[in-house]
Amino acid sequence: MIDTLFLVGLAASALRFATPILFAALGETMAQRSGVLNVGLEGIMLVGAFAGMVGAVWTGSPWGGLVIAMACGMALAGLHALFCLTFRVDQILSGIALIVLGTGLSGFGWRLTLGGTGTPPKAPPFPRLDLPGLSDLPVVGQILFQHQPMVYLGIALAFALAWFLRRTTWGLEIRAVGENPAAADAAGIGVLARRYGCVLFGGAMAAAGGCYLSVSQVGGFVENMVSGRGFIAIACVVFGQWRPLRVLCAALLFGAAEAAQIRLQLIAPHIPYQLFVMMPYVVAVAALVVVARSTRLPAALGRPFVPDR
Amino acid sequence: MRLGARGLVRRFGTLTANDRVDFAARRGTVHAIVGGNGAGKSTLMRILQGVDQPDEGSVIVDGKPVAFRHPADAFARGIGMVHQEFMLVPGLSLLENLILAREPADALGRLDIPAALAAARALEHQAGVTLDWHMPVDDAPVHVRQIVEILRLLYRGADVLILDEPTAVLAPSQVRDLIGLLQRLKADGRTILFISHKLDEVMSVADDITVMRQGRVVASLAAAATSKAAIAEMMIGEIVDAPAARPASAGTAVLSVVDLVATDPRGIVKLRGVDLTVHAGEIVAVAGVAGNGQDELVAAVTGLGRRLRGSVTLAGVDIADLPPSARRARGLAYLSPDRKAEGLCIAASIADNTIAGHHRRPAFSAGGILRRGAIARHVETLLDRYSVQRAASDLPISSLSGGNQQRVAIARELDGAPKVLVSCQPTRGVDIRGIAFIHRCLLDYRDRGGAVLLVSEELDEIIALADRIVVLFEGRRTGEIRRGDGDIEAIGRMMLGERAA
Repeated sequence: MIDTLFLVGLAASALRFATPILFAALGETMAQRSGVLNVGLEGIMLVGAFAGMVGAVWTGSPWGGLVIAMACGMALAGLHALFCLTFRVDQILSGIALIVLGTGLSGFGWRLTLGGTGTPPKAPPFPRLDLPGLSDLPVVGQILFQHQPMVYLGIALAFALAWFLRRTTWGLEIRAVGENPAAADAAGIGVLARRYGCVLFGGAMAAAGGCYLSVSQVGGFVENMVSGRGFIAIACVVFGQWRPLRVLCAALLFGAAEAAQIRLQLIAPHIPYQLFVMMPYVVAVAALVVVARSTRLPAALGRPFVPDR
Repeated sequence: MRLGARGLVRRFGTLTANDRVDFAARRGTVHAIVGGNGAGKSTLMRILQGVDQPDEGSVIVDGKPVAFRHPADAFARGIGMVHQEFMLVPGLSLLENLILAREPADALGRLDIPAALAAARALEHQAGVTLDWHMPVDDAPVHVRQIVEILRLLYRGADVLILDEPTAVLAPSQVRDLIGLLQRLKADGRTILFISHKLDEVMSVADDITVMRQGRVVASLAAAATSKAAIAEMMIGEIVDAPAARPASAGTAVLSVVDLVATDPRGIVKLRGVDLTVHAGEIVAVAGVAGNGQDELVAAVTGLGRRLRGSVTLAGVDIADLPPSARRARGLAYLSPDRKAEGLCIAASIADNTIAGHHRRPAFSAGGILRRGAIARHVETLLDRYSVQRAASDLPISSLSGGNQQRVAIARELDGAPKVLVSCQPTRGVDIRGIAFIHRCLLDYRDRGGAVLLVSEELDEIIALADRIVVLFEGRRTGEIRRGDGDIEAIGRMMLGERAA
């Protein structure tokens, strides 16, 4: 049946499109739960895409690229943490600076390295990992279990973070720091240390998402290739109400919107394709309008912590 | 002796907040520290829990002098504090708040929820209460949060509990429950320091009482050996002995409220038909335990809240349906109880705050453009007249002390000769000298023919200032007392719902 094939292909590709957004959104979830807003995901994802590509070519392995991308992402996020947490700069301003910085660094870095060589070398892609037994299942196997490792990792990460936040001392303390830092501080929890940790984790994850995008999904680096996914990831965090599993669902929704719009372009060539390209963003706006009313954000989100001493 | 102080002195500039304070709380007792606003209780508490350090003298723990540098030092000696604003974390459950920073967990950091719950149940049992531990803090009523706050200190090993005005947020029946809880804790050998200015509660719970006034300890005595009246006299001291002179005659009615019914922001009816008149040259005070309709009365008069029924008349004009700006234009001035959120714009400059609301006067602006020179001259004159201590008037008002901020607010409100001043908690968070100054301002304004509606939780303030006192209980008047007609006990009884004979 054509229809089944079409739907299976759509679902499987939704998962792939969701993955870069998912990584960035999960990292941002942790940062925001600790009380730090990082609107600079777009910039970090771009640097991750660039560094991942270059790293994969240089080391000859996509995993090498991933490690280098995450290190660069943490460096950028570290800058954000330094400004926002230590110097108490406005978090939005610092985040916007990060977008500009990341865009410039990735574009310029690309021209300095592989982009200046005419035909850039191809990066070794992540190998497809079929899970034995599971991949052979009809329909479900094709949708869920015939992917590259990072797709599985992203989903596993959502479950792991959900458990981590609810069931570990670290998770409890991170939530406390994001809700009432003064009380957490009085109880003897190091507020800044928790926040630094979460912001750095967020940077690493955003860069990992960018790396997947360039090395795996697109197979190369193009300037500004993240094209708004960093903002979609922030929308996912809000839509997912700061809970990792709901953030996973939100990312899948946006992945599905992107997968669908590409297929719709082919099916309906008489409709201007720009209308379809808009789809994920329209979904983002609509989703936010729906949940924004009922949402309770971390109480200390965006506010610097000033100890009462 | 479990906890005490010897010769404790703490100065802030020229103000001595604690002047050679001595007291001793015995192990296994409830020790009350009473005193009016500005008596030095808060300073003493901050020192006892290590937030502030004394200039002279020392804190005594188990009979030996100690030096606390941080709250953690005090906590290590078993001393914990229940704050007026509870230090619980929203978004977390009661159980998570209980164990925060002392979580039972394995080496990997995995929470041991059953162990946490068992600890919670054990504490519950000790305290004689039952709680739904999985309830989010946000859904828990205030008295439950307070219990969690207390149990949290016990969970973390404190055996000396300092409670700062713990009953201010409670309904009368909840006050009885809290007192029962404190007595059970005492029976278990814990020591409780109970800070309050509510004498009924103090007399019913305390073994020993230390009375403070103007930074000094006036007396330290056993509760059994004294009476509420004796304590009240020691607390209030010369303020009661020296009431300000009453002008010869009250003038015409300026502000009248008839059959006023009003709701709080959640839509619950809090004011159930109140009549009230304030004449020119008169201060009418509204007394009552917090939450008995005072806030709603003020909101209905100023136009900042919902009124269901009744009229509000200002100088003969019904203003009940007018927006706040129109009421102000007709001569209403309002000194807000919440300086930081409502009374002032805390991030704006001192000068901007001084003219805020008056900035459209022709003297200050023409065609929408501010006349900076005229404003600056006016601001300097006004602030000098109210002795606002400031480095420069263009600094943010957050750079001023609470007392000086309040002087700016009162200077602005009285500028332009309003007909009536609605003054709520005018001396909240203000030091002793500031309190005297603000009282002077209110009395002067009255003597010039102004009408003042005063709402205060400080009974001594009300007694010092008011020509008439109207007592509210559960949204209704329970009585009215003229200056000199009643005593503090009669007012206290009416505040608890007993009607005047």
